[in-house]
Amino acid sequence: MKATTLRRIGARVATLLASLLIALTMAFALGRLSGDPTATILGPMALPEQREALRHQLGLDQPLLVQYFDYLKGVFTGDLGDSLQFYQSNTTMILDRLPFTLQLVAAGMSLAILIGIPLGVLAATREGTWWDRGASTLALLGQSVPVFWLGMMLVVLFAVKLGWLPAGQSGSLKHLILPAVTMALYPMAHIARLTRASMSDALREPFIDSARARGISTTRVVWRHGFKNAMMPILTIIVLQTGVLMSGAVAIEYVYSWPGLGQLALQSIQFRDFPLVQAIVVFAAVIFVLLNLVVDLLHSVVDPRVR
Amino acid sequence: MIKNRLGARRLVAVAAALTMAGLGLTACGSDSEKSGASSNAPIRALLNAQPTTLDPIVGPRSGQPVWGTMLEPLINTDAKFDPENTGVITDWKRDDPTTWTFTVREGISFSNGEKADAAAVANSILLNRDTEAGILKSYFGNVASVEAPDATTVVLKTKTPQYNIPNLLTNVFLLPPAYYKEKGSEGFAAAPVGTGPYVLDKVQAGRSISVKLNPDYWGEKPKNTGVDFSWSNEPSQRLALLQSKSVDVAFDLSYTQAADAKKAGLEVTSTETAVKLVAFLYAPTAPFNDPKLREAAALAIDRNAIVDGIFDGHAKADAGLLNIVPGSEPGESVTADPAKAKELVGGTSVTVPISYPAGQYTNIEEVAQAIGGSLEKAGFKVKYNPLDYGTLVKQVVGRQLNGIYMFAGVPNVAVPDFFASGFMKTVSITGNCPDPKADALVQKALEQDDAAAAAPVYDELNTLGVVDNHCFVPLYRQIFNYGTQKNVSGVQYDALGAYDFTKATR
Repeated sequence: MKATTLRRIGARVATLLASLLIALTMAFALGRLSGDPTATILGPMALPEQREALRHQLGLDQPLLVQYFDYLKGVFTGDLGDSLQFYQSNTTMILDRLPFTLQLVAAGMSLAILIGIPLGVLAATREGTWWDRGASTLALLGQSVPVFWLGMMLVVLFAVKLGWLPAGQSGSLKHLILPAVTMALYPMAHIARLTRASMSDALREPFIDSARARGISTTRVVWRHGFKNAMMPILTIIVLQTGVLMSGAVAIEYVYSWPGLGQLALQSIQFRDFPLVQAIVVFAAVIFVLLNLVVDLLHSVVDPRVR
Repeated sequence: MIKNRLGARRLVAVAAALTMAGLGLTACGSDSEKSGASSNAPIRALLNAQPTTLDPIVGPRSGQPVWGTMLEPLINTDAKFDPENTGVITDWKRDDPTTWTFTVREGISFSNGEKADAAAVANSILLNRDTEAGILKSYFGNVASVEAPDATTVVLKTKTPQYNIPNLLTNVFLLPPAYYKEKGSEGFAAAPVGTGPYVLDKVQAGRSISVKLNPDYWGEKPKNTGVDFSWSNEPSQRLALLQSKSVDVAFDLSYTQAADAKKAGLEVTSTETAVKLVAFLYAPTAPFNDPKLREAAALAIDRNAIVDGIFDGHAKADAGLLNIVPGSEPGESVTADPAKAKELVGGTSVTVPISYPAGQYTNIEEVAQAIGGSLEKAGFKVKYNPLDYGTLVKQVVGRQLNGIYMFAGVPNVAVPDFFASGFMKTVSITGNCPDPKADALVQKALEQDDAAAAAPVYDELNTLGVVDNHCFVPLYRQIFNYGTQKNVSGVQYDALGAYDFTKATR
């Protein structure tokens, strides 16, 4: 491997680690700013000495810097602590909930890709037509509608009025449909708009005219020559949007009582369960950093110029 | 070539694979739809939050709907929340002012086979007294010793006379000593073992907890085969799940949702609870170290207007502080008199901070605004101070707040001492009204022979704090709504927040 490539990888990893440290520090600071958890845990009727004992047990009576280094040590040794409200290991709880969030994100992103890309290509290949305007309007709508509101409307229509699908919770394939559709809308719109723009540029390139002049079929020109060259920003956005969906799952999981990480994060924030909040933030930050790494690797795989 | 490796088809294939993975994961965790109904099928109960822990020693009340099906209190209560002899403890007597002897029911076992005898009862009381993070620790500070001289006798000694010990034991749950010691709090919470009518069936992390019949239950068998608990924090989602028949009973509906549920043909039950919202006037410092201004503030606040205007009647105005049981009234109370309040303020410019836990209780912002409006009409200047609940409690306990602060008293047991010791003593949670006379009355009440003898003392205490000193402005009791399907009956919820599913059928 060339020295420049190694240097580039090293610099990138250093940047990602710095981002991770900033995220960890922010999670620690926000946890300490969110009020005294002993009041929430013990309730208003607890004795002052009980509060002090709990503060000692949680290490909250230590200087802030000591708490911070203890926290970093825990993170880097894989010990994310115990939840204040559930009295369980945070790691266990996160791993229990993770499959549900992954399931939702996988289903939502798949829908977004399967609808967003064809929609964007359709708009790009029929620029200026009603197809284009229709697809663009749909994409704009998808980016404008608040997911919380959409979720409620879907519940009212498909669960309460029509009774076709469950209103929420998890358990069967039917339970996944409404949350996945709700989750897919925003990234679908984003992907469709980006695909349209990217494809429009690609289809104006000379090699497209050349391919057409060689008598290659339109479908082949669009997908094999045009789309392949327009793919780079789309891939990037898909990977990054996957990370966004993981964090954006909070609202959807709340609306549908979906037992994923978002729901857990919300519960921990409401209870001021800061060890759990921190653990979830650490986990999300690591995932984001890894996804960024994936984007970098994809870039170098798809485009030899960035190697 | 790279171009050949990653193409459009591949991207679509990846998307399809992701979909399949999602569906696969769903299939892995799937349950069959449980919509069939039969007379004794499990009851599908929807709570407003996931129980935080199923260990009653450290867990808040949010877990009680679930652990209350498997664990039993030491003493049962009747419809008026008075202790009765139908539970684990069948008899008690006060040998002298500080000594109690309890008789434990014979022949009861925990579902793991461990004996539920006097030693287990004594251990359960001591766990509540001695566990550092124990949620009930503060109630048992006066307990000097608990011993089990034989299998059916428990002797409890208090440091000073305390008539309400049997009442306190209605909130202590019987735990298996050996199992609890072996498993610890976390282990017990993961698989609770008790003497109750149900035993743990299945836990799906973050999703549901199911209990099934305890085949060895000593008491009357439940009318159903179990309860499947799930939860949703989102109020409209709870209503939607009920309307779409995904659950049999949904707890904690707001009054607008209760109305919607009724319109949709569902059954709605409303229960007046013992949860009482109180405005505390902090007397040690300005502005309310002036008794005249306290009286002015108390006269300015119109609790009936708050209940009618903000809650549309879906809360119960309550003028007393120590009347815990719904329906009971204080001997004397303060009625709003805005004209007199204005006269007492007398045009002086006094600023009153109003602190409240933003978002903690239904319509609390509106209630704070209504109180602020009333005070402004009387001539006070008002400064609103919304805080998060934890910060509010910390500042109340730390004596950092002046003016008015509001929060709800949530009694676990129906004894006036809960609020008397909690709020009225000089050394109490709030400490907003230090008065040696109140301290003496609190102690005098506890030293009485029984609740009947203590009642007039508590009435005197209530008059002292609410009517004479104007340190407390009781506002209203919350009303708790839950909805059930038409074919569901027998679900019970009481004013102290206890659930009973044993008579429920669908």
